[in-house]
Amino acid sequence: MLPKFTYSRPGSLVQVANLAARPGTRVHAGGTDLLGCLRDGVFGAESLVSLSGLSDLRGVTPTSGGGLRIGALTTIAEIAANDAISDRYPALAQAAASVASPQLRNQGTIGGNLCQKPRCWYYRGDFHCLRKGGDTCYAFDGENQYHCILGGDGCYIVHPSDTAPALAALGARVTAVSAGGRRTIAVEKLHVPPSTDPQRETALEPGEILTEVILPPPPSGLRSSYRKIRERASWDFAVVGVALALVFDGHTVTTANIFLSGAAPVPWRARQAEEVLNGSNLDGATVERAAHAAVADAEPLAHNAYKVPLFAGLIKEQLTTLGGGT
Amino acid sequence: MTDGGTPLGGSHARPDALAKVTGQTRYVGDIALPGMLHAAVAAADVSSARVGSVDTSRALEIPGVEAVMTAQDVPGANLIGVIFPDQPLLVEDRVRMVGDRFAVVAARSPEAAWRSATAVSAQLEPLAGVHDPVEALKAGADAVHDSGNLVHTFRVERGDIKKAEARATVVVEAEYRIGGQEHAYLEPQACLAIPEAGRVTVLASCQCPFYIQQGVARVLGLPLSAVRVEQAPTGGAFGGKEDYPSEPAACAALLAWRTRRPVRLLYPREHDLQATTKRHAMRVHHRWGADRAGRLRFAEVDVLLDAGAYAGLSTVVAERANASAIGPYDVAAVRVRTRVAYTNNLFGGAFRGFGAPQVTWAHEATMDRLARELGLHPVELRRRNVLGERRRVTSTGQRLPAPVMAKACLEKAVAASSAGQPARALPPGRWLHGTGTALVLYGCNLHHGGQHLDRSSAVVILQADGSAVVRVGLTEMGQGNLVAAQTVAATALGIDPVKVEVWQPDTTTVADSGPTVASRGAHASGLAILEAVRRLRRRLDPVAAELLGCEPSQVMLGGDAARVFGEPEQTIAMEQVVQEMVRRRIETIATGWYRSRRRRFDPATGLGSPYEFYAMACHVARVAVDPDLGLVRVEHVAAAHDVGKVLHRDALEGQIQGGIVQAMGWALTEELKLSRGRLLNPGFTDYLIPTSDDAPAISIALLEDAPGSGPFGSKGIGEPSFIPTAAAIRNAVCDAIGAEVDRLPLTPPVIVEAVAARHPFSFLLP
Repeated sequence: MLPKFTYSRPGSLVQVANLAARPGTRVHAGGTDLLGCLRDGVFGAESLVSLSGLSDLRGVTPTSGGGLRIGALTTIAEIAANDAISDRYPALAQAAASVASPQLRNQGTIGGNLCQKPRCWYYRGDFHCLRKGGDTCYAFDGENQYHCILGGDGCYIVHPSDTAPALAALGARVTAVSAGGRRTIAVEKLHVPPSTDPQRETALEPGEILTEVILPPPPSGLRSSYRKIRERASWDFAVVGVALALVFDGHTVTTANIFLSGAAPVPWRARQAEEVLNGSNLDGATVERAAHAAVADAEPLAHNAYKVPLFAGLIKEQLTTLGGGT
Repeated sequence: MTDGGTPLGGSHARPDALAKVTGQTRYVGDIALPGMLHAAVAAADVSSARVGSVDTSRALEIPGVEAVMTAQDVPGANLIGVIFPDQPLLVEDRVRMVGDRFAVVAARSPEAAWRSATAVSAQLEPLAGVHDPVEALKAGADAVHDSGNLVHTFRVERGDIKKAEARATVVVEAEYRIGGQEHAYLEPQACLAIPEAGRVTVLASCQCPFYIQQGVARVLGLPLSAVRVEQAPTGGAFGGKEDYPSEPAACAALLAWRTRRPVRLLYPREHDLQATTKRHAMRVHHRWGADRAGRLRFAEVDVLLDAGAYAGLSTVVAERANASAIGPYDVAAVRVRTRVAYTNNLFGGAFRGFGAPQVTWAHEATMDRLARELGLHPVELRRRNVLGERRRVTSTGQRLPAPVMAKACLEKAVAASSAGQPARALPPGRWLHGTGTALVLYGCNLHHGGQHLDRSSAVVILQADGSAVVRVGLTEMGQGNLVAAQTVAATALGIDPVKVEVWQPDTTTVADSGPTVASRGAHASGLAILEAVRRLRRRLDPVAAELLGCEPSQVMLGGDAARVFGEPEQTIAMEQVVQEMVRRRIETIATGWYRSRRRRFDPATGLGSPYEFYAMACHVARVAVDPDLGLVRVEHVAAAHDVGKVLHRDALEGQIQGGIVQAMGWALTEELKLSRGRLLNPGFTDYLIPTSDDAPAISIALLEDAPGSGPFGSKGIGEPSFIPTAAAIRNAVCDAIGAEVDRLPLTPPVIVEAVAARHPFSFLLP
């Protein structure tokens, strides 16, 4: 049952930010995650403030610097279907196309997708876990088939977003606006690991609204991709996923950005794999070494060790596909 | 129209289809009555505890609450449970599973009701409980009930295993761990109870109105005649609305009785998933042997069912598992033991296939194992052992009449599989392809142990305009019983099916017809309708004969008219015949009754005729597996079914397609994640039923050579369409990866484990 809450839909960002700063208030964009969480009692809300009165927050437009601005209210479906995104940032288009189901992509927004609550059945279920202010992580000794193999620290969720690793790999930033002003945050720094604070998912402060995503202009020689492995063909989270953004100079990789989904409580940067690739050609041995390096530090739980070879297999498969023709 | 102008075997529009697809069907959730209250359930979230007291004071303070009732408020017997009286409707002194009810609440809004339910508190002394059926049967295990944890043991003992074993050159042994399944019907549990002085009407989404009638009468302490149950349009059931709906119905009736107001109980999806019955998880141990020529010599099977906290239908599910354990194979020496154990897990209930899919999965896995050991193709090993013209005796010693269709199904499905095309292209990857075959010998209708229920009632009322009203005791739940009953009645009366209106069952219009289960709907309703039409024709034919100027024995019905046999020109419209009956005040209503034939069976040895007759089927699955990514795609399923006679082609093929996709979900992705008896994934985000993107291409072959004893020679299809699919998929996956997999479902971790030995990244596994 949904709790009782008041609902407002201001016409200005300042009003939204002022309302959102009040305790007990939640920001409502597409609502595909928020309403489920409220209904299931994951958290409560006394009031909801809607972003839907802010038409500036919709749509995809070019930036003066040659990149793209994506308003926070742009739906996932719009991103998946956008030609500029598909042409220049295929990782993002592929990530958007693999989110949830057609219905959820039509309703869910890019801002909401970045600010999702974690995937964990203890967190989502009726367990007073560490993330909800309790003192234990039930997944650690429990059913943890879908939980993290990297970056767990007291809490072992996985971050559920497909678009976040793609955006992080592409070097995107988000703009956060509050009554006090605005700042930009790299998507890579947007998510908070449990070692910093197990009770929050993003670096946004109360009253800070994520208004847009800014993609830098694609460097020449950029190739990017996102693929996730899921148990069913649609409407399913990543068991393992990888976003790649590789800049090539001829056959040589000059810069490799690799972010994993389904791996960690935040979109996980596979630095060791990047180091293997930087300055290398994508020959078979390098690909194999990079795939191995990505999971070298994995610390699987009792029921999720299977993710380790799957990540290696997926990274190898995607590097091979992306390197085709070099 | 086919078959000489009758609808038999055709595909006329289903009578319920238009209203359902245009949203006009009124489900229980669409019905609100003046003054109606909303019910909710206060349920346990632990699986085992002693109960001190239940405190409802805070629940009663919630605004809008009209009644909160606990066990001591039950006017009749506080007992539910279809076969064994082991389940209190409301908790007394023990919690035995998550979902056990401390109290039920009625309030003016659903929100108030569920809020009040969460405010009910119980003083609990938690117990460890037992959550594994193997542990449950060990000495010293916590007893779920005072009677102990072993509910029942079934056996089949045939031939001399020792002697047969001496002639077996290859023996394989395996332990299969097969998971349960959620029904995932579209419409959750729903009912509405309407009280009147001294009696009550219940409208319920259900398969078995007569079970609800008995349950409500027992709980309220009323005579059966004072409880009227009408089946509401039912949005899917699959067995999940066989035994279970008696529980919510009794809760709603209890509250309606107390408040004297209509009370509606709709389960939110999460509660539905958390509290209702599931397909049984089973452990199946096999030791089978064959000789060098690939002939099966003996088969030993040990089955253990996790019944969960209450017996429910577990013993009858076990009875079918026990009788189905060997499959359609000729084996002279057979030993089967099937045990049912209580645990503190969610309780098992009826689910499409009723214990047969699990044991079929096991026997087909073992057949492939044996084939690999013998160096034979799995299809060839089946050819050498499957029941057929010369080998017609089943594992329980029942001799089948010719023709025996198992082998024909095998050949048809194998041929259709190699001709089939996948539904869609594969994404990039290192795809390995595999093909898997599975056969089923499906015992039609109820097992010998349940044959007292194998009966059915029908009423046919001719209308003055030549149309007909039909009432049956068996339910439409999406499977097509209405169109089957309509087709049978229209064929027998010789009228257009649109002139036959079949109405949903109501316990005041037909006699207790037993449950709509075991693929018996079309069979049992159809035969009762045919009997009613026969009785009607004893009155109709003489009138028609008089009008036609012939003998009553010469009257034929067809094309909305009565005709003279051999004189096709001589006809009179049905409408005129019935009007003449009305004018003469001749009774235009008749009842019909069906009961199954008696048969011999010895429960002690499991030998005899557990079923009256059988349907056979073969499914061949083609899969692609990417071992590096843990992915399985079912590309194509070929299904060949021994259906006896097609009543309605679209409904029949729809059942086969639905059975295949539902079984594919069970085979690959649907996993009940239980933590100390509590379901961790009570929602469709984490409990993964297939989507349309997952559905394989399907080819169907229907074999009509071996008539069953259903109407016009038909046989049930609901369950045989499900049973062999998961086994065929398992065998195809094993063929693709070159390794045995002994667990269901075949999720990525299971695939990774199976391929680990040869996987390039296997060194990464701890």
